[in-house]
Amino acid sequence: MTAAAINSHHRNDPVNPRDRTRRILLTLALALLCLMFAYVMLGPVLFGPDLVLKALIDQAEEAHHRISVWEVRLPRALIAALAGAMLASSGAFLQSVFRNPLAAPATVGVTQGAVLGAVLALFVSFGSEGALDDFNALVPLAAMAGGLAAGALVYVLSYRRAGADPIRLILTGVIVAAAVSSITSFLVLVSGSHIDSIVRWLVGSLGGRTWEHLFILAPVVVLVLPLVVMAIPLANALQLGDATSVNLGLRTEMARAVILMTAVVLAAGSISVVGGVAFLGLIAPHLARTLVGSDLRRLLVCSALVGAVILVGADLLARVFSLDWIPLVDIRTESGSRVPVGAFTALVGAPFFLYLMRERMR
Amino acid sequence: MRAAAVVVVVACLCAAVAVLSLMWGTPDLSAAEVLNALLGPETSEGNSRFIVQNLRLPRVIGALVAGAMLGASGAIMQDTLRNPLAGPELIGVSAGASLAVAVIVAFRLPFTGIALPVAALVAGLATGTVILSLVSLKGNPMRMLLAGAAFTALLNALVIAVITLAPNFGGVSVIYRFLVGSLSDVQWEEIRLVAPWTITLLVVFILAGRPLNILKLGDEAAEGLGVGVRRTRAALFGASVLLVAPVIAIAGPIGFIALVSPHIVRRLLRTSDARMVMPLSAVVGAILVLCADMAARLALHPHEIAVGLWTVALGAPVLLALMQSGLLRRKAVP
Repeated sequence: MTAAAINSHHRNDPVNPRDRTRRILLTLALALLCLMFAYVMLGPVLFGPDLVLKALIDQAEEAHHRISVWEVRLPRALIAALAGAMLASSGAFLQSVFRNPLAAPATVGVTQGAVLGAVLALFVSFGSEGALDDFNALVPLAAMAGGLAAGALVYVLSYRRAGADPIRLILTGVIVAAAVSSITSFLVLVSGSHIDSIVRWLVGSLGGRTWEHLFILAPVVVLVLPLVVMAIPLANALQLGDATSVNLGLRTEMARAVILMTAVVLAAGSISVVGGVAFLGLIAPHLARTLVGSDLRRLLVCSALVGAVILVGADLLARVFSLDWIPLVDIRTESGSRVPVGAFTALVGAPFFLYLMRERMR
Repeated sequence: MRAAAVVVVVACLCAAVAVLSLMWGTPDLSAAEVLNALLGPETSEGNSRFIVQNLRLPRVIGALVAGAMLGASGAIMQDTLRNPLAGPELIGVSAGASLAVAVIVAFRLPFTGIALPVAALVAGLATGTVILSLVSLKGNPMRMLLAGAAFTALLNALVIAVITLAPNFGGVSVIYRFLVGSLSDVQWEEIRLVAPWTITLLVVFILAGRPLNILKLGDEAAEGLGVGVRRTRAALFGASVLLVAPVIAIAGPIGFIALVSPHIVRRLLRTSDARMVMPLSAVVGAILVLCADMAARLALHPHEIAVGLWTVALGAPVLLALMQSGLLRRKAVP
C-alpha cells in the first residue's frame, strides 16, 4: 500500500527521527488495522474475531465464511483504505501547492472532471450492458482522462504571466467544476432509466466493489509512486513562497505542473473506483497538518493514513446503519440498498468545514 | 434618451419571448391560437385552451417572476456588498435556502403554503450572514466568491445526503430541483404562493434606489450624508434575500441570472445608477430565465433538462470572462 511504503521510507530517513511523529503515525496505522478488522467482522452476519482470523488464514470451517471474508468484505475494506488514502494525499498536495486551505480535488475541478469522464463511459456502454454494477474497464480510464482534462483546463484558464495566483486558481476551479457538473447532469437526465444508480455513484459508494476494482487501483498506485516521490521535495520548496523558491533555483511553474499532475492522478484513480466522496480530500490533510505539521514528507504519510481511517470508518458506519440485525437504526434507502458512504462523509464533514472556514478565511 | 430606448427595447423583447414561450412546445401553436386560447370564448378548441391556460401560462409566469426577482436581487446585492461578482447563488444564500426547502419537502415537514418561502428566507439570511462574517467587504472580491462557492459545495452535499436519506426519495429530478433549480413543477398553485411576494419587488424598487446610490459613494461619504452604513447595508442585504426566497421555494436555486443581468443592464445603459439598473435587471432577468426555460423544455425533447443546468452551463463562462476582465482590478485591494 502507498501509505505503508512511504511510511517505511520515512522512518528510515535520518533527518527526521522525531518520536512524536512516529508515535502518531503508528497509532493511526494501528487504528486503521483495527477498523479494517472490524469492517471484515461486520456484515449481514456478524463474524467473531476467531472466525475472521481462521478465514483469513484459509482455515475456515465453512466455505461460505471464507467466501464472505475473502471475496466480499476484505476487498471492500482494502479498497476503502486505498481510495481514502489516495484522495487524501491528493488533497495534501493541492493544499500545499496553492497555499490555500480550501484547495481539494473537488475545488479545483478534478473530482467533477473525473465524474464526468466516468459517467460518459457508463453512458457509452449502457446500450449493451444494462446494470451499472456490471463493471466496465472503460470507467476508470475515462475518469482519469476527465480529471486530467478538467485539472489542465483550470490551470490554463487561471494562468497569468506572473504565474497562477492561488485565489484565482481555486475560484476558476470552482466555476469550471460547476460547468462540468452541469454537463454531467445533462447526460444523467438524458440517460433516463439508470439515473438512480448513477446518482448513488456520484455521491460516492463502496457497494459491490471487489478485487476487480482493487486491481484497477493497483497499477495506478504503481504509476503514481515515482511521481509522488518526485513531487514531495518540489512541494516542500513551493511552500516557502514563490519568491523564495525562485531564489532556491526552482522553476515554480514546472514544479506546480508536476505536483498538480500527481494530485490529479491520485484523485482520479480513487474517484474512478469509489466515486466522488465528499470532503475527504479537504478534511484529511487538515487533520494531518494539525498532527504532524506541514513538512510534506510527514504530512503526506499522515494524510494518507487519516484519509484511509476516515473512509473505512465512514463506510463502517454506513454499513452499521443498514444492517438488518440492528433494528433501531434502519435508515436504508427506498430500494433497500445501502446508504452511500458519501452521504456520511458529507454529514460528518459539514461541521468540520464550518470550523475551518471560520479559522482560515479571516 | 438612451435609457428610454433601452427600456422600450428590453420591454418589447421580454413580451416577445413570453409569447414565443406560449407558442412553442408540443404541439406548436400559432400566435392567433395562443390569443384565442387566452382570451377567446370558453367554447373555442378545448385542447389548445387547456395547454395554454393550465400548462404553459403558469410556467411562463413562474419564469417571469423568478427571473425578475433574481435580476433585481443581483443588482441590489452587487451594490450593497460593493462586489461586482456578488449574487445570491454565488455567496451561498441560494444553497442555504434550497437546503431548507429540500429538508422540508423530503421529510414532508408541516411547512406548507407561505411557510415554505419563509423558511427559505430564514435559511438564506442565516447562510448569508455566516458568509459575510467570514470575509471582509473591503478585501479581494474573489475571496467572497470563494467562501461562497465552498459553502455552496458543502450545502449541496447536504442536499444530496438529505434527499438520498429521505424516506420518499423521488428520483433524480427531485435532486436537480434543489441543486440547480427547475421550473417543471410550477403550476397555478405555486404561482398563487409567490404572487404576493412580487409586491416586495415594487416596494424595493421605490425604496432601495437612493440608499444603494449613496452606498456606492463609499462608507465615509455615506456616513457624511447621514446614512447609517451598517444598518442600511443589512437592510438592503435582507431585501435582496427576501426577493430570492420565494423563487427558491417554488423553483430552486437557479444560478447566474442574478449575477449576469445587472452587468448586461449596466453595459446597455452605460450607467450604474441603481434606480435604473434595478428594475431593468429584473426585466433582463425575466428574459434570460424565459429563454433558459425554453431551452429546458425544447432543446433535448422529449427529455426535460432542468433550467438551472442551462443557466449554469451558459453563465459559468460569463463569470470566467468577468474575472478575466478589468472589472475586478479597480476594486481588488489585497
